[in-house]
Amino acid sequence: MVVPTIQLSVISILLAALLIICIVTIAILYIKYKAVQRRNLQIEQQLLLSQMNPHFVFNSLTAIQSYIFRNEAHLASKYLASFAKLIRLILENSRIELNSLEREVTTLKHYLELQALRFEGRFEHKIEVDEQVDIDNVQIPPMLAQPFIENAIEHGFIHISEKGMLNIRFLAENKNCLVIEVEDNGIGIEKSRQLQMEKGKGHRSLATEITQERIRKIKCSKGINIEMSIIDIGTIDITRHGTLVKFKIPV
Amino acid sequence: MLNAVVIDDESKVRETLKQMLSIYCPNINVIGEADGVESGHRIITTQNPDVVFLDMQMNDGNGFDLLNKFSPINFQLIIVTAYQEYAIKAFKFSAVDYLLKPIDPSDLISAIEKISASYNQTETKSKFDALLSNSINHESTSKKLVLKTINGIHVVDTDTIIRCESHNNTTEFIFKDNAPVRVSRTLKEFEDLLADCGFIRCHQSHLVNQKYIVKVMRFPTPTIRMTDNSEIPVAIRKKDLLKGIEEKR
Repeated sequence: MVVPTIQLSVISILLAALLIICIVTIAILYIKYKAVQRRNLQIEQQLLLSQMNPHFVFNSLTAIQSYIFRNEAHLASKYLASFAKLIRLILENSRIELNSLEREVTTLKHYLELQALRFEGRFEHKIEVDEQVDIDNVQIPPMLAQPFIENAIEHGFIHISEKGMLNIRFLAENKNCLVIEVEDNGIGIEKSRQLQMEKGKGHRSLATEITQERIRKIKCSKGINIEMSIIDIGTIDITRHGTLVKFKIPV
Repeated sequence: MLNAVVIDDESKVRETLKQMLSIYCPNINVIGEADGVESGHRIITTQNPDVVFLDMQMNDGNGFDLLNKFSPINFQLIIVTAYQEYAIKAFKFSAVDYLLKPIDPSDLISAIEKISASYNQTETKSKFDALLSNSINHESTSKKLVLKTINGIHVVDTDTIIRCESHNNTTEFIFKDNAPVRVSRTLKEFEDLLADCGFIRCHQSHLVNQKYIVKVMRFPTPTIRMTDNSEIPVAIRKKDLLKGIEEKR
């Protein structure tokens, strides 16, 4: 009866080893899962903060205050309502991964209205939606282009002689692909970076960083492969200046 | 009548402030405005205002960049800021007044009242020296702290403070080399301010600088001995702090 005992002990050792391997694997997977979760939460928080940038929030409110002191009750309440709508949409956006294009355009309209109020006369803006785009049914990640729009308004239009122009376009490249373009006639991303460097602020583009992280995350969770490109218009056509940011989103 | 200039890169913000000043502060006469560091520097040197309202975050640099161009600062300064955590902390350390956007009319009135009541050039200078030094070293753990007492102001290095003790609503500072100073602010305010400088609140009435702890005693009651030979009680619910201190030593 010696042989079976040995067999038994071999089996039990194997079983024990297997069990340990299983536990270790599960533990590693769990730790990785937690790390991914933490990173995702970080991205979400960063995103919310970039959309509800305190500087934007408090300066917009101060701009609205100027209408109150001018006794322009109508305009004051109009901008205040716009501000409230924007904040509500941003808070709702933070809970969803995809948004209808219709809501996206509404959000951007409120956002641009307030930015135009803050920087009165600095720039004009236009939002175009291609007729072929099904605005009610196309779903896109909310406010993907917002960090670049903010950059254009707050940093791009300084040091240019003509009036700032900001064009946001939603185009149907084909039936399965939506293109978002943000084009401005500012100083261009290259020069803007240079200026930041000269000011001694080791410049890292937060807009680009956050957006790339986000695109990676969307690819993981939804399998949607978004392409992003940033072009300094001056590098293609030296007679012009500005920045063109382009997203290609499969829909 | 005091002459003032308003420096902010957003025209709407300047407009609001000017409107508020004309309504609430009739003794302030706005003689000019500017939209950045360069233009701000120009307007201050040419107009020589009594009061400057300064936004901290502007397109061509921040408020500290502008203040650094003046030595000494011979005007009263009211900082107006939307949000900038490290800057606000620097104002608190230096006891410099600031207004948050959107501006509350009563805050504006009280800031102007303070200015009109007293203008002491040496005090202003020391406060701003402290502010600028803190803004340059805003990541360092040693900072300049401005303490206001009835007899004037003291600018101290947080590194030289051994401990703080509360008496009612005042706080007494005990230093390595200098005589103690008592200010009429609560210990809680300093606890928040000094948390990043290595200070711990070990007891309701005591805030100590970890650097100056000599010995930790557990019996008969938890106590810390400091370099000035004082023995500071440790609250029962703060006992866990002692473990942390002992491990670090």
